[in-house]
Amino acid sequence: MEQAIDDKPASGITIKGKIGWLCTYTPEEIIIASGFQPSRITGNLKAFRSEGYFPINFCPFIKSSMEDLLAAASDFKGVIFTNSCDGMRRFYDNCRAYIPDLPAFMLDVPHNKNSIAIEHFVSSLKEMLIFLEETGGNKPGIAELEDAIRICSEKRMLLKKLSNRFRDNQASVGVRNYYNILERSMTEDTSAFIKYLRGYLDGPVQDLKSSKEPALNGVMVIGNYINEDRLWSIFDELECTIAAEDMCNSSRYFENITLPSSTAGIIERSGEKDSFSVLLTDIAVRQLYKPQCMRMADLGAKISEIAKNIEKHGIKGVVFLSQKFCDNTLLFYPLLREKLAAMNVPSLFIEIEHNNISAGQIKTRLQAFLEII
Amino acid sequence: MGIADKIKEGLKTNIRNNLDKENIKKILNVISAGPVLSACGATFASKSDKYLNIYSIKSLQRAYSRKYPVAYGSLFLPYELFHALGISPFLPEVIGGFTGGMGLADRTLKEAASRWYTPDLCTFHRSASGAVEMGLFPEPDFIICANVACDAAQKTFYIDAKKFGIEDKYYLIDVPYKNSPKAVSLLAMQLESISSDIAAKLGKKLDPDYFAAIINCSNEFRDWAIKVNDLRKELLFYPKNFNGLNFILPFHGLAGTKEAANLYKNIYLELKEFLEVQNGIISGNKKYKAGNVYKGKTIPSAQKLKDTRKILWMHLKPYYKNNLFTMLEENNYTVVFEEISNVYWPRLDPEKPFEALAIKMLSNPLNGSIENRVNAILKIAAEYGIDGAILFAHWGCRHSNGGARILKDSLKNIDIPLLILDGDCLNKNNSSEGQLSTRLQGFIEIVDCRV
Repeated sequence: MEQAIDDKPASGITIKGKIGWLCTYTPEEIIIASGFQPSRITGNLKAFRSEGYFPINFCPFIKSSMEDLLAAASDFKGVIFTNSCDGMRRFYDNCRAYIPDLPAFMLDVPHNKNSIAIEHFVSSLKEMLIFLEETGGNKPGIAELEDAIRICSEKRMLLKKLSNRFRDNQASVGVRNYYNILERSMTEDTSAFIKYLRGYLDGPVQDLKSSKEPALNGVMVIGNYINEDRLWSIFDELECTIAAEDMCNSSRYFENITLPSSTAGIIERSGEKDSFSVLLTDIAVRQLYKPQCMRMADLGAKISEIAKNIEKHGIKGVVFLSQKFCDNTLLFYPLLREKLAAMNVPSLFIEIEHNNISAGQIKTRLQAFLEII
Repeated sequence: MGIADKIKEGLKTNIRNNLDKENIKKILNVISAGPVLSACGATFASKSDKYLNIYSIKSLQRAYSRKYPVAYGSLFLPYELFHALGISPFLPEVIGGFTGGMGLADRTLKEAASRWYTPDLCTFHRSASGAVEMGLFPEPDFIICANVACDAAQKTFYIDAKKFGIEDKYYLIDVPYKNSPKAVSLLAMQLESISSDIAAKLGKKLDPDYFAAIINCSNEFRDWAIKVNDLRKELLFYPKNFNGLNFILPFHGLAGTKEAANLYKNIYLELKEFLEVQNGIISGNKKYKAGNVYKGKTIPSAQKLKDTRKILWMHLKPYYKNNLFTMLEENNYTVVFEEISNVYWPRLDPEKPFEALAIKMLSNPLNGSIENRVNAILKIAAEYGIDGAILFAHWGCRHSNGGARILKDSLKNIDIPLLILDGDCLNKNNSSEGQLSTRLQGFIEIVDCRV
């Protein structure tokens, strides 16, 4: 069902090296403008040494990400953390304490969306620029920042096209393959990836599905950062149609290519005068007003985003995937479930232990859920 | 069992058997009535315990009475703002702790579980959410929380706001990660904006003179609390039942009230009296013979006092019946200070109340990097001359437990052992009493060997 990615782009590591990042609220534009390659830390390794730094009931994705850094800190010139959750704040602390040679920066992302929050975030972005400069990066000017914004917008636009193709003809892309491409978009050299994705999207659309019947029983997947190959293969194996998604490694990463018109007034009120600051404000608004993470203040807005998607795509059921011990996601579920019950949409709640999933159990549960819906 | 304990047990049984908000309200009305309260107050073993109970009951009675607007608040808020606005604060997380002490946690946690709160989440928040769903807490007019220390309150409070249909009266205060002049200004702007919005919704204006008076009261409370903390640097002979971990409600929720200032003044006076007795014991004053009882507390020998091991307690404690503190006492260990008793903020400027409260919030060592917490702990360790520290690693608290290794290593650098005691502050079924005792005993043996 899946289409293998065999045309990997040539390594395009920039001269200044990689800056690791962890959360989609990190604006890659600023990293690129500073002359670095942004590369998401994806928790590839199984937690082993990192178990010694964190308690047992702690986010397994963070543990694996710490393991990645312990194993290969020298691959990065620095890492940008965000204060997205308690776990991430302690990850930053542990990284600074036990990998002291790796420069680390905490990007302060507000929880609210208003003019004070934008000012707050712009101020954090300015500190991020200083950190990148101190880490050996350039001090970008307007031209560099505009160029970086253009590159990131193009990547997001292409990913949106990929997402549309995936939704319209899932079989031509494959679930596992789709999430692999998304992971590459976050970890590989941006320009090289754009070239690759452009080629991929321009290539022939292969419908590998035997049946040409319209997709039935479309589900929406909602969750945090889930990049489990085996899990996505189960979706392929069961021919489970993902008609909409709201994940940290999908829509929340690339949506909001242009600024929503509703924020125009806020930008004007921010009172920034010089062009560079205006660009930073644009970035801050784009990031804060993208499809939001469950860590943000207005959970009602998040519920509305999801409800709108459910209606728009005629969703038959919701598969809610959460990393274990993720308070922000787990505490969103009671609210979501209430809303889904009111909309008469069934949901399946699956907790994922990063790099250690119970594939058989998940497959059985997903199969049973698909039979019900 | 003393009279106070019998009364407490009777009330707990009554509440457990008639679990209903109206019954809680009725009980609070009865016990907060002047004569009953003073009669009840007289039964407490210590003055500190008496005032703590009286003011806590009054605060709860006020919130349950619904005669004033009520606001739910998360733990580390500047409650001076609530009092300045004439709002009665109700702290669900703290009262969630009470559910453990009252023996209600099994029921509130079960209720939360039935509403899809998974057992991996913090029991303070799960229990509070269960209690809200069971209709045990007073109905709020406003809900205010901050991102200091923990993610869970922000989420559970939003769910509460939704339940009560007051999403437009839910406020999340974004406390900047770093303390800087810019951060103070951003936070002060938020506090002012939220206050204006609440005042407008209440149909009134924030009176600047009254606000300044509240800030002055808060400073008075702060001054007494510092005096108490200074005195504790020497104190080893404590009043019966004194436990600094019990004062979390007045320390935060009553900041800015006369009650908080009065409570800490009385704690100071009582501890000062006990310090004088302690000095008498050490200097060999025959009035204080070892084995005799002073205000309900057995007088130790001078040698025993000299041999006392000093412990710093970090995070919170189990609020159900447990033997941890008895074990410490039996082994001549005294908790000389608790992380939560730290007065971390400077004097507040009544002329600039929003800025002052922003500074207070940003000074919290639990905000921002763990370096802030480590620095605060190291300072306390030096000032109190501690022999060891205990971090109660409450189940589900990623904020505190995620930094446990760093805390342990930081204390190790100054040759102080830290015991990370894994347990649950509320749910006794999630804490193995035997395991906790064994680990505590092992720790005691290690510390004993070191001296």
